[in-house]
Amino acid sequence: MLACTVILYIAALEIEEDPFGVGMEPYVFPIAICYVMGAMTLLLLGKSAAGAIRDGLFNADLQEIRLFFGWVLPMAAIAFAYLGLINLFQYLLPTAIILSATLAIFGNRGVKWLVTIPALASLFYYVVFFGIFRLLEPTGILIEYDNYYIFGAMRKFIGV
Amino acid sequence: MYHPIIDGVITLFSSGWAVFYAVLGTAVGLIAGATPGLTASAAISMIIPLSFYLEPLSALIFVYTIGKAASFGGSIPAILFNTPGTPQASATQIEGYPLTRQGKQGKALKMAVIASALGDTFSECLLIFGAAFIAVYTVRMGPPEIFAVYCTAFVIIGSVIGSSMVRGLISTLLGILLSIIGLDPISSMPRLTFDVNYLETGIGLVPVLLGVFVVSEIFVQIADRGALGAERMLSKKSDVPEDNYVTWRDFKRCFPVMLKSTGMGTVIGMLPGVGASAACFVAYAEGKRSAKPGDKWGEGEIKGVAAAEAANNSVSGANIIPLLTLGIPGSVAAALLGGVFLIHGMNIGPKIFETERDTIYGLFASGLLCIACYFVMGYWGSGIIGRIIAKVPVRVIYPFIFITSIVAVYALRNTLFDVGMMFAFGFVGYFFKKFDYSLPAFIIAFILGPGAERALRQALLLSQDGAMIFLERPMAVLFIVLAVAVIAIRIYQTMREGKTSPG
Repeated sequence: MLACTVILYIAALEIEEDPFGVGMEPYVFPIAICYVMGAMTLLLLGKSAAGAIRDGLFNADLQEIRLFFGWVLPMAAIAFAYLGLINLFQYLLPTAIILSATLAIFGNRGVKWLVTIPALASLFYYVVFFGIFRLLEPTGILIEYDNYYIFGAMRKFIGV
Repeated sequence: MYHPIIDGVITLFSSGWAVFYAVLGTAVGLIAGATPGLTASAAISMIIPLSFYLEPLSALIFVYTIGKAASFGGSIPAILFNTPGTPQASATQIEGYPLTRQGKQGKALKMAVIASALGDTFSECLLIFGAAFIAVYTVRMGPPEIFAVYCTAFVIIGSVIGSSMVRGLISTLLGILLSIIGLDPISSMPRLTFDVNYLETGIGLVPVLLGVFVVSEIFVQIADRGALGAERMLSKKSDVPEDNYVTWRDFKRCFPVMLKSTGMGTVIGMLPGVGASAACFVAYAEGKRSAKPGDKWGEGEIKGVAAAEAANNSVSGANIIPLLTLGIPGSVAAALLGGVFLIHGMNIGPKIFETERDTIYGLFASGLLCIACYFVMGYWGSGIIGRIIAKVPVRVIYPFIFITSIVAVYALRNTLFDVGMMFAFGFVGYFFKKFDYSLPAFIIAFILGPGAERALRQALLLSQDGAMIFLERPMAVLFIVLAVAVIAIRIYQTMREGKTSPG
């Protein structure tokens, strides 16, 4: 949290003055908040350091750390990988892959949960959001296709 | 005597879509509340992108009724499976689950819905007849008073919620700082944008909400994998018919407790940031304290269910009073409702009773309709909802929630940057939960931050003596003194509890 405060404080120092402005400058409010936040985080850091010295510096919960690196980081990696895959292959294929990966990481097993359901669910989401609700699909770098003609015919058929 | 609520009822029922969304919101809220791990805030966060495409009244009704119904919905798994569906149902499970183990889950569920409806109706009536009355006074407040109110709200929200005052205040300050990222509203100078073009329009509310409520919960659940596959078993019902419904004797026993709890919940609900979780425990503790001979508190006492549910549902209407009269949300759900107001171009505050009268009273009328709907659905359908929840494992729900939230946030601006922001805030929310920072304080401050800065700048522009203007206005002084008093009381309480210092 202290690091966050420092980063935001440095960014706040770069806010320019308004040459024609009256009243409070644009940087005053963020800098003031940074000062108060810095004071509070230093207070918390002091308390935490005192507690750590009293209870033992290396008394960390190893189970929590294992869970974070073993499960949370991979889930986060899946999330950001999803963004990368959409940029490469548009929406449909990455969604099926990532949904399958997410179901797997949550403990689901078998062809039904890892292949069939992700494929059908991705198709369902694709048709509903990009076909019926007409969201604009992000374009892919490696695979690029235009769904306009498919969904145009479908929307005409169902009367939307 | 003619009251604007009559116009509100006419506005509601003259639009079929408004009624539709009231009923749909009730059903969605019941299911969201009844699904452990899927809170009302997460459900509302996923619905907010859809609200862009709805008419303002329908959007507001949809979000409002989800929050209301979810308050009751959380009691269903709390009673049946000893797992609260929402944080405010935590007190309900203390007496509700022992009743289920005795085969009296029918009685417990029906008492929960009766108490919820009673508490909710009382606070909704207070909202309908009291909010406009309060607004007559608060509309006279100028920028110095408004800024003082914001400061008091930030202090109360940051220092009262959660176990650590310092962490709560840090959460509040971080929310304020992140809220002002973007172009300065007066000079259009970029602030805290880190030279990223997408940040010049600020951080969107929806990516933040979905990140901290939905994605962070997914990270928490994946780290807690041990409970994911656990089957929820339904207990066998009692063969005694009286154990499956609320008798007149049960109702008479519980009525005084329900009334007292409703009063407590309403008062607590009007305090910004305190919320339903505190109300249900306060009411439960008071009910237990005034136990009569023959009561079985801790072993399945129906009055415990009534007290907790009456209190937590009476918060929902009362929460909206500070939102509409001062622009300060009383809870996260109220803050999200405030976000929908802003999305549809309506400025929340006391003037809304003049500028959007029909919409406001239509919203209030929808609250009454929602109470009637969840009473009917809950009284006859809680058991069915419980059986459905028992069959769907959490390890299947979360992946689909994950994919849905991605599409929901993408739908706003058709940019993957928002999706990335959502994941980043998912991390923020995860660390907040793990290190005991306050997510409600962060979210409420994020929503209110720009308004607070605007009020401060307007006050200083008006002033000829700089910051002394805050000491020249009696109401501003009152709120500042209140903020200082809250901090002092909190410090004193913490020192009395034997901690070395607050934090």
